[in-house]
Amino acid sequence: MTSLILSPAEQDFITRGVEGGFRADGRGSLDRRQVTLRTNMISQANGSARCRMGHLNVGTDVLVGIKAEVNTWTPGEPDNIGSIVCNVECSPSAAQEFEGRGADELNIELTQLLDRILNGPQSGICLEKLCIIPKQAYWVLHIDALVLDVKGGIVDTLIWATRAALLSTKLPRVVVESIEDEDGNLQSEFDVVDDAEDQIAVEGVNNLPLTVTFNQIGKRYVIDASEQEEAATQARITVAVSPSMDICAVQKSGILRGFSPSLLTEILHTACKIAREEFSRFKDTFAAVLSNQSSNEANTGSTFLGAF
Amino acid sequence: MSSETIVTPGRRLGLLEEHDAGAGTYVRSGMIYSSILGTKTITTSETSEKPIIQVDRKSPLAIPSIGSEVLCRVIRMNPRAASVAIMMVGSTPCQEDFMGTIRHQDIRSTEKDSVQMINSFRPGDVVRAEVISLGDQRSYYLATTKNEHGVVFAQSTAGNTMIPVSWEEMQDPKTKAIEKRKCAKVF
Amino acid sequence: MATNAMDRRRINGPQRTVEPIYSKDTDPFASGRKDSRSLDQVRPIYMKTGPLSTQANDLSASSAAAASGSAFYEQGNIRVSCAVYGPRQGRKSNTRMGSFDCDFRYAPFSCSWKKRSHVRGADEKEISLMLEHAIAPAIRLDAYPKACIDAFVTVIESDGKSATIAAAINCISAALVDAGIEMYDSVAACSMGLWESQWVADCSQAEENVSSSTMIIAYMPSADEVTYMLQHGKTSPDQTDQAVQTCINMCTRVYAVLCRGLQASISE
Repeated sequence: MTSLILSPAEQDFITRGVEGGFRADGRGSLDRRQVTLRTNMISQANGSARCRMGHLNVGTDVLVGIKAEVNTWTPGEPDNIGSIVCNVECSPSAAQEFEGRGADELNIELTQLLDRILNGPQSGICLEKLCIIPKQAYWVLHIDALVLDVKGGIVDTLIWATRAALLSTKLPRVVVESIEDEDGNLQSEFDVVDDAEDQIAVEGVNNLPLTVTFNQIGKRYVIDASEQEEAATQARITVAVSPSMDICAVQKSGILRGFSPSLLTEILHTACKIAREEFSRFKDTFAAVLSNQSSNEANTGSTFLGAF
Repeated sequence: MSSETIVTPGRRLGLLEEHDAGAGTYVRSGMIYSSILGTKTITTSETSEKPIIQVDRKSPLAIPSIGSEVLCRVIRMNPRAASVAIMMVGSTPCQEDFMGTIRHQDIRSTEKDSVQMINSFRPGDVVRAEVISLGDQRSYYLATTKNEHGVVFAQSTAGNTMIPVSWEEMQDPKTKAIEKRKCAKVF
Repeated sequence: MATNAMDRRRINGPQRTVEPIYSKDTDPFASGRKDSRSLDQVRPIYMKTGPLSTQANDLSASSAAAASGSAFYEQGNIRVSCAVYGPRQGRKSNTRMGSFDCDFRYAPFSCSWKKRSHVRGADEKEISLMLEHAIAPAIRLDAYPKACIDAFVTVIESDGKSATIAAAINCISAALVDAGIEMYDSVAACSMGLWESQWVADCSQAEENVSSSTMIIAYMPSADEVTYMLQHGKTSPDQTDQAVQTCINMCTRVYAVLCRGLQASISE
């Protein structure tokens, strides 16, 4: 994804390593890097999270902020569901080539991928619950992701951050009142309760999928590739798996090669197996984040950076 | 002696042990496959012991690579280099012009320091040259150091086609004016 | 709602409006498929290479470049045309390998639901990327150092989004072969939709609207490689497995049709 160019010797070193089951940083081929997670550090947003894959100085860093907005229904839109609008932006601070329009392609690819995973019944989010009054008003969740640092494995980091942000999202409670007007029609009105204590979570966020991205290098594959490994990657495939072990989305990318059908089947099965571990790891990490944050209430700049 | 069938890309043509891979084919794990749509021909030649499998169709697409001989037209010049448009690679015309550069140190092989651009080429000349490097982002680097490389077609200031009279001079047959060029050796 | 932006130069609609009654989506599978196909049957394919003028091999025409190859592809109601340019001077500086760029566009009148705008939307840009990822593994990019191959795809008529993307892949593949670009294999693609735990091949728009998930697979039969895979929507792992197998089988059938068409194009 970045313009890192490997020499043939480096390429060969990585490829042979992966084929033999070794990686430069000592991980196994199906091991993820260290994950650092932090939630609710943006007070203006309804929910936010920052996720860093990798170590303090070398890692991929994604910040996700979620803003909820009430939208008025217009004809042609679905009657009784809310909506999710995704946007991913790669900051020029992550890599020099993202400056100007340089990140356009990547932005679009990631935005559409996020949209494909989240927008629809496959995400597990109960979109019906985001409807306030059918054919009148509904919630729109604007999910805005900012990629702050890119050192490989951007999709998985993005989904981790998005999942954490959605889990920490609190929507204001809405009171709906229905009155009968003089013609006997039911008129509904709603009120957004402006109380920081009186907020509710988004329904169904626990069903959100996680993704596992496989990078094919030589004859084998690794997950959570580092920047160098990504440059040696011939083909990449992202599999989104829900907590119920269903496959929610699959997307291949990479222009150098394809996958043989048998390898593809193997990858799909491995994805489900890894996802099981990923979910328990996510749960542990997220629980740890919550307990840390409750002990340290102040949302100051130092806590924003604290975990990183 | 040849046998003909129409093949599509990816069609298995034969074993590498029994044949040599010719134009329009590629080799993967010991097998020769077709890489273009065309007719498969098997030819035997004296130079190689195995028969050659190749796939022929309309003239192959031209693309300059290191070492290939190209025909190009001089577009503009400065004291250090001439910009040229590559029109033909080998004997195949290009679909679209590729841009090339002939730097002044690549014009001839001896006395490189005394080469003057203006005494070697003029805009509009057609030059035969060799690709020495894929060059930078914009252009291929060409050289005319060999005897048979250099200007093959040029017009004088009067507008007449000139004929080479020595390896560095050309003459207008009508006005008898002599202009300086780095001429290609006439075969 | 747009009362504040009322344009008095035009004939304005009434202030109070009622919503039209939309016809309910009828179940397209109620009595078999509308066009009486079987569930694993791809719509009939028509293909022609070289519908656009290609450049004659003479130097005089070198100023106005014409396409090196082109193809027109029909699959049921879907109509796609593609032109391939190059190999020509690349804009990117990767000298070891050539690059392949794809530009995918819907014609403004190509979709049933609304007129498309002239500016290229995010979905068109994404599909362009998808097509690049699907086709590039088949091209021998190492044979074209520093050069660039461009494919321009126009959807003249679409019927089913995934099926249209699959058709575009087939069309580019044919155009590349027509251009004489060196390839490892031609890519064949096909799509499927999941409808009540049953995979249905090559869904039309009406069928796609009721399917819970869709899958697109691009496959190179001779090289036995899946060059692209996209699944949208929830399935069980077994269903995905099954879909991959079925899709690969269908791609092989599409491939046979493509190859026959290509062979016929030069044996005339």
